[in-house]
Amino acid sequence: MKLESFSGTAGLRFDSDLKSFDKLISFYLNAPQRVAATGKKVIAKGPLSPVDFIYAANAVAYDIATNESMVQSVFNGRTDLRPEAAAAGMSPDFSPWSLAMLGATLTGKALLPVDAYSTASSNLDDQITKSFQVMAQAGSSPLHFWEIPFYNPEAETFALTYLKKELQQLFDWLALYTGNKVTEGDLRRSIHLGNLLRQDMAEINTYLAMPKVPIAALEYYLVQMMMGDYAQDPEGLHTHYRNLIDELRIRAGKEETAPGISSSPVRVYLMGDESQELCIFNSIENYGGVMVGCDFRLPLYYDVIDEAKSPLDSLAQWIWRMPCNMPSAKRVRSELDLISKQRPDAVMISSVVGSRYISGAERMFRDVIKEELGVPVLSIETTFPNENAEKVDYQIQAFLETIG
Amino acid sequence: MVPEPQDSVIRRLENRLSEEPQRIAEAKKNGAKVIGYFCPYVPEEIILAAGMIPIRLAFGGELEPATAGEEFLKSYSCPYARCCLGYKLEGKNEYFNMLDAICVAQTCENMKRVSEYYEKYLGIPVFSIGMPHTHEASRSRPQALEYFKKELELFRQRLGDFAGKPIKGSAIRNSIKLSNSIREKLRLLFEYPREPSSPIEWRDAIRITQAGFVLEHNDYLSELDNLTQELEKKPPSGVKDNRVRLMITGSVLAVGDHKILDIVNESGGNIVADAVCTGSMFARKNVTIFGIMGNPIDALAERYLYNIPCPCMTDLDKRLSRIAKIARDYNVSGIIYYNLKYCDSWRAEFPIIKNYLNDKLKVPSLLLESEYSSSDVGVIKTKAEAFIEMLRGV
Repeated sequence: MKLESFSGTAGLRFDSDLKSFDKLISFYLNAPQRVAATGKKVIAKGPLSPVDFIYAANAVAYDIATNESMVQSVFNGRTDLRPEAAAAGMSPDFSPWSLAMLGATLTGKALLPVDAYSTASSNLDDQITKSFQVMAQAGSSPLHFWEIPFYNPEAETFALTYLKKELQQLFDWLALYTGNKVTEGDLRRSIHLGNLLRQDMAEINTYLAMPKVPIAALEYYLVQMMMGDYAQDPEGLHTHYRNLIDELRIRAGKEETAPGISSSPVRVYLMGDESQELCIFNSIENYGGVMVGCDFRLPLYYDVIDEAKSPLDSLAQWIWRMPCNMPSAKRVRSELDLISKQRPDAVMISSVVGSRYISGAERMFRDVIKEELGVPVLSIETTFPNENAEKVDYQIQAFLETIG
Repeated sequence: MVPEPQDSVIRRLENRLSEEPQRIAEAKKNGAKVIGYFCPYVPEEIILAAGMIPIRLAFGGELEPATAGEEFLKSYSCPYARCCLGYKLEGKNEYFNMLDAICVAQTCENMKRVSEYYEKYLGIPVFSIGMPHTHEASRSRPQALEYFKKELELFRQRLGDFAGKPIKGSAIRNSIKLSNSIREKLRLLFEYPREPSSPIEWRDAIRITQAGFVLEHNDYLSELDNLTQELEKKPPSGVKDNRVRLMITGSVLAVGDHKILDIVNESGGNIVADAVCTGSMFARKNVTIFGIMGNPIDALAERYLYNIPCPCMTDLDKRLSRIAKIARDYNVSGIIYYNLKYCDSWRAEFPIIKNYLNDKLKVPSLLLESEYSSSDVGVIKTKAEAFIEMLRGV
């Protein structure tokens, strides 16, 4: 299955030589049918909410905002989901991710029927929390929020106690709705599998850090996006990631860059809000850049979960330190080492109109990056696919030409 | 028309308000510190017990500070949150100019960003209080309360360090008594508009409540005492009120944000009740007697966590039942659902709350969405007039 054949992605440049990527995309797009065939319960979760315990309960995690938006709005170019969300009473001022998800779900057009909703509340995304409440109520579906406490090192001891109790209650809820108790052994195995994927992502990132980058921005972004729910099949995703890594290794061995990347490109790190405007990834390369990193899903693979300790303790500590759980200035500082490893010449910060998450912190991100890394920064803003593609394309062109 | 007796008290309060910045400036000269806060999840009792001056920075309704706030927050952020930054940036609001520190409960995303910008750019120390968002009236998550108690204890310690002396339990108990007395008086004010011939209008009750956000608390309590005594003596007006009885709920109704209230008034509506965090919700629920006799932090945590939750908290059931109870108790014909543009949490719940009130009470709701500009006055007025006209016909 090739993405070029979708109406919403026509005109985008894909790396047709990267065979493992085509297989990965087929795996991703076929996931709803595969999941339905397993008979497992499907638990919808927010984009940055962790998933290891959902798989430990022998259920399937579904990143409903990302998948419904990406496949329906972006790949298939559907423009009817936003008005349908508004017709169902939702605010048209919400982000395109929320509106596509709400439009698909409230009108019964979701790709994958959801059995229950559960996501982390608090610091991850107010719109997702509220949307989950609305969708669960509309479908009379079970709903369980769990709390990640505010990140404050002074409060670590009691915050972790709180978080562990929240996780234990979440496990009980999962047992109730899936019929599968989350045992320590199940959790350990699930964490191990998640760690393999986190290590895969770290390995893929080493290829982006190379002088000659063997994977293009668009492909890398889509690969990373699948970390949102481990593509509803962690073992399958791991296999596909390994195949991709093998292919990248061969390219890197030949010092080949991905098609579209110039010989001495400006190295660009992309951070912030996940964008539905896929043309930005091509634009980076069109104007002499190369994407050397992207932090959209970084909180899900910033580090591995310690497998030597009790899985509950390790999981709680790892969740507590997820960059997305930190105040903005701490968050961006916590990412500096990871960004520096990719050796960027410039950073682009993406905001999505309607999202309050990164857009609210964009000024802070910009200033900290300039202060700490001393590289030029470009802020871009996108919304629904193709709604401001031209403007962003010009911005990226001007930015890269100025630096180059 | 507001009856005479409380007019005199309101005038006195307004005079006091005009003098308050000067009084605070004098207190600062004598070493007092001013601690600002935004959301009502911050227990002001702890600030009072530290010998500091708590000010609830609930100012809004003006376009200029909202625009000034865009230096940090995008134009598609909540205008109240932008004002919280904009007033400080502009330097025109005396209360913002007098701040020594702010205390921010980590509630919605916008308020979290506000605290971060204060800390990094505005040179103001920030005390953050971690808030559990997932807790239920049924107390099915005792860990949320335990965590919040510890957060408040940490706040007490940090504020004590800032004050240069520990905050004693006895001082907190005294401030609980004071704040409880204020809350009791305010609740009495909000009770009056239940009756058709109330000697005080809801709009005056909210003005009086909001005056308390900045006034010295002992003086404020004295004024409330005077007012309640005057109101007790005042017989019902006996004049038939033909206006349509309404309730308002939704986003923060900031001090200075009169647009919606004026329009509803001009359109023949009479708001008699509210579920907004700057109105009766602020005064709802005392700290229990255990706070006065036992561990005051435990009692404060119980009161502040389990008051009516803002919709950035997940306890929708409690919010629904509370809003419905108020609508029923005050015998309202309709609900004005005020949503500040980009206030996602309130906005997302509108369809749920609207359907619930319609199903349970047959009370219709009108969504009025606005920013702090005058450009939408015409549209809002048309909607309000049509809604009130429709209610008259029911």
